[in-house]
Amino acid sequence: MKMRHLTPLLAATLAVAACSDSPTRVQAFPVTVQVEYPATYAQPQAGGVQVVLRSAERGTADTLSTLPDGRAVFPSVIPGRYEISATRSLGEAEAEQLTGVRGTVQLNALLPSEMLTAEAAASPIVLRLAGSPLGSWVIKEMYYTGSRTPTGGTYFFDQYFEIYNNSTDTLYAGGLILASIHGVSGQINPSSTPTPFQSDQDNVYAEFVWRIPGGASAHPVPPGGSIVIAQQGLDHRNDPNANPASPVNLGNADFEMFIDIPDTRDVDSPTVPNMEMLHRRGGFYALKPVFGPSMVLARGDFSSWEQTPLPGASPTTAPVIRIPNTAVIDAVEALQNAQSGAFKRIPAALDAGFTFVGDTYVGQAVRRRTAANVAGRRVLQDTNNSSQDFEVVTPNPRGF
Amino acid sequence: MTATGRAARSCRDGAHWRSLGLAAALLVLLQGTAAAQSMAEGLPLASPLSLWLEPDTAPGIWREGGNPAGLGLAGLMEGGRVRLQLSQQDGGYRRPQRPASTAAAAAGMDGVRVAAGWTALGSFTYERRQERDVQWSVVADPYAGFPYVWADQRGGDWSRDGASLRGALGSPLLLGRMAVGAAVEYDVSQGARRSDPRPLFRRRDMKLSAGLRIDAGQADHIGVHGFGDWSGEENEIGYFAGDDPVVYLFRGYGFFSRSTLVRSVRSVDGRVLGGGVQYAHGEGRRRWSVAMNGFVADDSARVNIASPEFGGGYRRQGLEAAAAIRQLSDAMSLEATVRGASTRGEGTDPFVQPRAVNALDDNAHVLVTLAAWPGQDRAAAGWTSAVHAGVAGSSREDVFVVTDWQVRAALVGAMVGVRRRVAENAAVMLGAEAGIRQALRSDFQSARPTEMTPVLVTPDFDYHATARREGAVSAGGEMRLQAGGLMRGMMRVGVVHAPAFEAGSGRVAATLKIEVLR
Repeated sequence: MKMRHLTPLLAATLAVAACSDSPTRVQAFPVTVQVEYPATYAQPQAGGVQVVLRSAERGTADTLSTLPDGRAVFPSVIPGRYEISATRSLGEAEAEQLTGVRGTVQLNALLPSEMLTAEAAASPIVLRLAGSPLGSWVIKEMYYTGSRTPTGGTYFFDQYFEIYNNSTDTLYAGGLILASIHGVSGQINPSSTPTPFQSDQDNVYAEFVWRIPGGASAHPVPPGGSIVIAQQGLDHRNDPNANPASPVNLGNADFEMFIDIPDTRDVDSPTVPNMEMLHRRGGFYALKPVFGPSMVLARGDFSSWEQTPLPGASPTTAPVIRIPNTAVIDAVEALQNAQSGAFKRIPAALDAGFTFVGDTYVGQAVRRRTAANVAGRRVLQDTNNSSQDFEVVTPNPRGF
Repeated sequence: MTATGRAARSCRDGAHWRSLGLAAALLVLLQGTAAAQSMAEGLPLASPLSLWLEPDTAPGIWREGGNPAGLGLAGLMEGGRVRLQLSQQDGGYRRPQRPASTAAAAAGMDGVRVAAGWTALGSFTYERRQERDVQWSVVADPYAGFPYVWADQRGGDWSRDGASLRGALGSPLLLGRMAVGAAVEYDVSQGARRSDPRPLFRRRDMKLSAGLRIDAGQADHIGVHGFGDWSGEENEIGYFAGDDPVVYLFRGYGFFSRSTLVRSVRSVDGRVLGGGVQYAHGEGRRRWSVAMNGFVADDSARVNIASPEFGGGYRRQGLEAAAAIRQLSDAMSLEATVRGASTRGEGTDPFVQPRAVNALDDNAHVLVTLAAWPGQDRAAAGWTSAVHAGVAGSSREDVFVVTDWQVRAALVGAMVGVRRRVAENAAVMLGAEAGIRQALRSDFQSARPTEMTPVLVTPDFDYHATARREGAVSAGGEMRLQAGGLMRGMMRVGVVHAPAFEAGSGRVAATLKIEVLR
């Protein structure tokens, strides 16, 4: 029969036709997600991170935890569009180990729409965790004692304050408030008495209130960066009207506290932007007490802070500004000397101690100690106790 | 006999060769060919009365192989008729994307004309169908094979219209020993759902075939023919909707994507190319024939109009074989037929690059039927009976979601019909059918199920794997009209019972046919 020959031939022909250009089978593929801590953390590899791979097309989700090396390997992923997210909660101890700052933080990372193909997944997908900053602004250095001129005179226009980004992330200095707190620094005169607001442990009372200009996203400062705020933004050592014996050049300060009133000696530096002066009770220029100022860094709505008259003062006496503790980011109490504790102006909740130089016009500053070095970033000590956190040094703005 | 099974799904592992080889071996072993016959959704029971209602054709290269060059040997009688058919189906025993109930009305006409040795036949049918509660489908037929179909989760009721046109022409002997023939089939249909997001489809399908018959002698006939089928379906969704629908694109058997669309359109174009060979022998009262057809089909979807994108592909190959032998006798005539088919489909995913196959399906069956009737003229016989037995296998695989099922089932059935003249011009007909289908083997695994797995995949597997019993009774009559011609009618009621099927154990189908012949 002819059919006996035709049938296998036709079957073979069809089979060859069917297979000759038949595409290969689809293949799921492994996807490696590499999760890293923020760059300012002590180590890049983020272990114990929950990684979720969610299909945008089906809504299904696979979840894995990263290994200590930060990798999570999803062994069989179907090509398609995915949302990849990572979450890690750091406890206080872990956070301190990784950042040098004690606190809890929630770290997250998200790739909202990632097209995963075998080619795209050939190399690890890197997720960099981010979270609310651990740490914040601190007052790094205060030079308030002033200096002596070559002829033995006193010079206080070279005061400055350096604020430091002690966090794990870039912070923005725009809108940051620097205020000096009302009250004498110690038993300067026999009649000196502590601040009348000492019993209020929930607020501080400011004589001067200055604000860094710009909005909340102005003046970014990287972790470990700082801003120098000068009383006068001059090169005090070389300016003909300044003090050649001054220890500092503040011609490159970030801001100066210029008081725009008729006065021949308060110089508005053309190279240094001015702080916004929100409140001033009086006094000489922007002078802070050379015996020791109490300074706070704060954020908030200045107009909502109450203007408070001094107890027993006449109605014409300029008020002070009551700043709630909740608005204070950092506070440093500097008093006249070790015996001046009774003159504390800042509530213990903000600063449990105080620092001091012990003399005036000696060209010395107080500087916050270094607690740790994390990934090349210096973490300054901030125990909310200036007695422990500060040391007396030679002024050196932006020394690190 | 089947190409089912996990190991039988890769050209590289040679299993497909085995599948096709099995079909070829089946052909050689059984010396048979067959027309394709889907047995996925029911037993191949046919009303015994249809043997009287439909023209009786003898085994040959037309009946077994579909070669129109064999029309002249089919024994077709001249005539014409007008038909009306009403049908209704209800019940929970159904595949998950099938309607809960279907009501259809069809009307048509057909006829045969023989002149100068030429044989021509033609038919036209129009059908109107109402489908209630269709879930997870917005296409003409989600079970047509193409795996990349749209769906939504709202479901609803559909209205459909369809028209079919058939024509075939067979020549007399040419040059003393050959004949040629050609056939055309054209179907158009459209459907729309009444509920948001108001999906609709339009479909058209044209099949052309042409064949050659060579008579090796008075009794031996060899045929060869080729055919092509071109189809197109457009789907639209969301154009008349009150809100934006969530549209599912099924990409296999459980694998899917979904997205919210404002409106969208897509088209699926299909092409089938195939051919067949036949051999028929007729001498005296014995006729027998064998035939085999093979085909390769490609479907491809495009989405969007402005910038069309590939929406999935589907390639299917199949072999169909059938053999029949009829022995006529004055006392009792007998006929035995064997039909078998094996098809294999591979779906190319629309999104994976480079393109690759995710969905695979295999279907195969073989069915043996033995029929008997008194006398030589079956159309005039007072009774007729048949028994059949077969094996059917199906398998599905979704590579991505590691889902794989296969079912191999055996089926047996029997039918009997009687026809009695009750008056000079009138006769009545009664018939009964019964059959069972029982799974011989069934396996299901889904290592990575999706939310669609328990909705569509598992129920469809259960549908195939569940044992079921079927039965039907028919009653009909015929009356010669005074004006000439013959009026016939038939009512058939069938029941399927599958007690282990969770979604519903039964399904009832009723059909009423009325026709007038001239």
